[in-house]
Formats: sequence, structure tokens, C-alpha cells
Amino acid sequence: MKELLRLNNVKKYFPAKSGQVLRAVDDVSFSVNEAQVFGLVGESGCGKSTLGRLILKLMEPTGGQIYFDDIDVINSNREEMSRIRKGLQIIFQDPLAALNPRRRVIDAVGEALLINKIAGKGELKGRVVHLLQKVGLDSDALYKYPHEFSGGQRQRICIARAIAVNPRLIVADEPLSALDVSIQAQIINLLEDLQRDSDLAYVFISHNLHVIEHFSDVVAVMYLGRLVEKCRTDELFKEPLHPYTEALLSAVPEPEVGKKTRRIVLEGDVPSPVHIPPGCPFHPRCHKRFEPCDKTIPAFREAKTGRWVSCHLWE
Amino acid sequence: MKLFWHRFKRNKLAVIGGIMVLTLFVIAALAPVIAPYDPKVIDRNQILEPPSSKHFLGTDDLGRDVLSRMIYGSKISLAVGFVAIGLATIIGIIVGALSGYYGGWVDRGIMRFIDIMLSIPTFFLILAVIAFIDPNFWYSILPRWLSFMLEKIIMDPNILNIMIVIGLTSWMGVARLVRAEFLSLKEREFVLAARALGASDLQIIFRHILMNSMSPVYVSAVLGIAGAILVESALSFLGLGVQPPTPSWGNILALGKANIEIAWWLSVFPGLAILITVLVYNLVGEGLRDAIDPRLWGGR
Repeated sequence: MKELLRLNNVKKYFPAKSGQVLRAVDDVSFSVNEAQVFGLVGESGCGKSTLGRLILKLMEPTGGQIYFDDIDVINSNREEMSRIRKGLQIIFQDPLAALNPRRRVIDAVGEALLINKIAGKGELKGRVVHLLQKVGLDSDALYKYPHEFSGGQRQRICIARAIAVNPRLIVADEPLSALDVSIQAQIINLLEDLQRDSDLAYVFISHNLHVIEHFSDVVAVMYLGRLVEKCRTDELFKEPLHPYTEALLSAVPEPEVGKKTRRIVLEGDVPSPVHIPPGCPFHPRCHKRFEPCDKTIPAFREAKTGRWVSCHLWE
Repeated sequence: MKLFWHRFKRNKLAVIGGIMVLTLFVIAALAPVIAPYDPKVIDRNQILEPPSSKHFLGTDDLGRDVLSRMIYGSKISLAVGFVAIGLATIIGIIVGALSGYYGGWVDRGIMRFIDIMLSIPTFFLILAVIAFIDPNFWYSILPRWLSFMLEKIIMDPNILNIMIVIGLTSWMGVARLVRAEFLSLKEREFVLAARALGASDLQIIFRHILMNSMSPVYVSAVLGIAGAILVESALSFLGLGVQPPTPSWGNILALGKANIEIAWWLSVFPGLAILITVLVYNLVGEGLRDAIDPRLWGGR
């Protein structure tokens, strides 16, 4: 499998009140292969969405490198950028906010084709209809405005817009969390179909562990802007190595009645990303903390084959 | 849009205001047809006649029919209001869009400049500019086809001068509104999606952000027209605006001041006209504001 996306020590700091620094994303490195689904989980506010936007250069990172298909995304020139735009797309959490309320479907989806010179004005309608069919909408949708659709249909429009340029990787930023449960299943099936048909890769950002388990090949767990664990999905769910992952998995509701689960309850709240605790960021809430945890930051290293973790327990 | 009409119609005052505004338009447009006399014809036998069946609103000190002069004057007031505010709105949108979209030092520079403009008492600035600028100055710097067109439509270079000066001194409010809209809209996800698709800055500004930030601009433009009409009347009253014999509500009022002890009708009717016009524009503006989005303006 060829490597498609690579992040090296990506950082994004925001200036906060009175000279302080908010570390939204800190030293994140990973890579995504072609046609691979890379799941990214974490609590709200841990920097998942910021990371997604950094990948698409919708924000400038504070440090680090991002490579897409061997193109340096951060220092790309115009021509390289237009290649990146065609290969890399994004789907947002709230499909209503992601569609311009004053533009019809044909304008929204057609814009993707026109800007990237995939279709001319004449063939535009046919191409948009074709894209709509791909995402399960019929052609009456063409001349309607976003507010005339249901949430699931709107997300389908957003997906149609994203796949219009034939991307190789889509960053899906919690594409299901604004939708009803019954609709979530339809959308996830649609994303799976699209992946099978055209060898798409996804960076799938979510806090829903069931969806991640079902959908992704590789999972990375994020806590306060850093990756704490990364490995194949089945391995992670079988045997979590990091205490935070352990706690996350124990919090997933079990569909089977009467099945005994050992719940690990985390103490306290997520600290503010402005005041990240010294040492391991997770140590104040960790149920397995010991001597070095509040002093040094554990390195993100391969503890077992294919299993990356940043925890002093595995040093 | 439907909801907008529904909410607008519920506001009775705004609807009355809207009808009055349209009526004023019709009067101004049909001035040559409905005016009973030529507004510039002097009749020495009819000097300072009180209102009668022959001259509904009386005559002035040169025997000209006040009603006819006011009907022609409404044309000037409306034209000045619209052109001046049109100019101010265009400048405001461009400046506000640049400021809000690019941010950083562009934004800081523009905002400081707006603060400086706002700290100058506008009316005195206008007075100073009008006193120093030759009315034909604009014709000389504008492209020839444009100045030719303007000359045909507006005739009097003085009026063009007033329009431009009012426009150049009243764009700051619009710029601030547009900037605020841009600041909030540029982080919205549909704008990010357009950027991810590779849309250029211009496409994003015009197609995505501006389209969604026009509602407060319409409101401020309608309210601004009322202000511009008032400024024009004040200037004409002071003799620095529309010059006689061209009629304007302001210069009729100035004549009224000279004769206020013997001819009340010369002051009262143009004064009322100004009052009502400004009032109805304000009513319409406020109705629009409430109908467009009640939440937008702090639930007034």
C-alpha cells in the first residue's frame, strides 16, 4: 500500500488571553495509506477538528510538515495546491452550516466542477445529476435550496460536493454526529460504498467508538492535542494499551443486557488546552499514574509491533 | 422570503411607510404631469398669495406656485438620497469586505481610518468640502462618458457635488456592518468548504460571504436615505446645496425663513414634507430590520 498522507510533528498553537498559548494540536505524526480508513477519536475539544482543517490547509500550522501524495502541503505553490484540492476534500459535521443557504444544489455541487475545470457550463447539469445519483439523491434536488432538505439529504449533498473532484482522501469531520441514528447508518453505508467503488481513503474523525470500530482500519486516539495511542482497529478494541484508551472503551455502552463490564471512571474534567499539565498531559486523571508521569512527557513509541503508544507504562 | 413578508406585513407602521415611500416615488416620477404650474415661472401678480383653490399651497415671493416647486423638489430629494447612499453603500461594502476578509494590518489600518472619519463632525466636513470644491470638479475627474451621462440626468453640477460629498462621508457605518458580517461568516463551514474546493478569494467574497451579509446593509441603506435627505435639505437651507431657481425643499424653506411673519405656508409645507419623508423612510427601515431577523438586533 502506498502512503498517501503523512504528518510530521504537526503543531497548531493559538494565542490566548494575556500572552498565553492554547495548544490545540501538539506534535502529531501519522500517515494514511491509499484506500485506508484512518479513525481519529477523542473527546470534544481535543483538537481533532483543528487537525482535520490543518490537513486541508484551511489553517496554517505553527510547526511541522504535512505531505499529501509527496507534495508539501504547507509550502505548496499554486499549481501544487490545485492538485491537492482535487485529491483532498472535507466533509463537515453540520451539513446545514456547510452549505451556503443562498445557493441551490446545482450551484453548490457545480461550483466544485467549475472551479477545478472538470466540467464546462454545458455539461454541468448532467455531471451534477450523476453525482447526486451516486449519493442517492434524484434530480429534483437540483434546483432546491439547502433548507428544503432533511439533515441526511444535506449531508448527501455535502458528500456529492466533496466527491465531485474525484478525491483520493476525504477528511470526514464527525460527519454523523449531527444526524439521527437511523440516518447515521445510511450515511456510513454510503461512505463505505464510495470507498469500495473508487479506492477512497478517509481520515474519519469521530467520538463514536462503535462507528470507528465498524468503519476504520487504523485508529488513533487523541488527548489534549496529542496522539496517545495508534494501532489497527481490532487490536485496539481487543487490548487497549494506554490507560486513557482503556477508560474510553470502558465507557462505551454495551448493547447486550446483563453483560458485566468494568467501568473506569475518569476523575475530573479535561484540563484546558491553555494550561496543559506538566509531564504526561493525562496524568492528573490517570488511574495508573506512577513516579515519572508528572515530570517527563512520554515519547510516542512503538511498544509492540504495530502498536504505538505514549505512556510511561510502556517505556 | 415568505416569512419576511409575513413579519413585515404585521408591522402596520412600516406598511404605511412603504406605501408613502412608493407614493413619493410616483410623485417625483410624474412631476411634469401632476404639477399644476411650471415651478420656475414668475408671476408678479401673484406674490406671496396664501393657500387658495388656485394655488393649493400658496405662492412664494416671486409668485411661483409652492405646490409645483415642492413636487419638483421631491425629485431632487429622492435623487440625492438614493445616489448618495448608493455611493456610500458601495464604498462601505468594498472597504468592509477588505477589512473583514483579510484582517491583520489591513483591518487595523482601515478601522483606524474609520475612527478618524467618524471623529470629524460630518456636517462641517461637508460644508467645508462644498465651500472649497468647484462643482464642476467631479465632471473633470470622472470618465467622459460617465460625466456626460450624469450631466444629462442631473443637470445641475451643484447637485452632483452634494451627492458625492454626502456619499463620501457616510460609508463608515456600512463598512463596519459588512466587516462584522465578514468576520463571522468567513469562519463558517460553507466558506471553508469553498476554500477546500479551491475557490479564489474573490469568488469566496462575492459568491459566499457577501450574498449572506446583505440584509443589515439593506436596512442601513434605507435608514441612510432618510439621513441623506435631511443633510441635503439642511445644506440647501443654508444656501450651500441646491441653488435657486432649481427648487428643493431646503431652499423653499430658506425663502420661508425670510418671509416667516407674512407667509407661514412657505415654511410649514416644505418642513412637513421633509419631516414626513424622513419619518417614513425610518419606519420602513425599522420594519425591514425587524422583519429580516429579529435576533440580529438584540430583540428590539
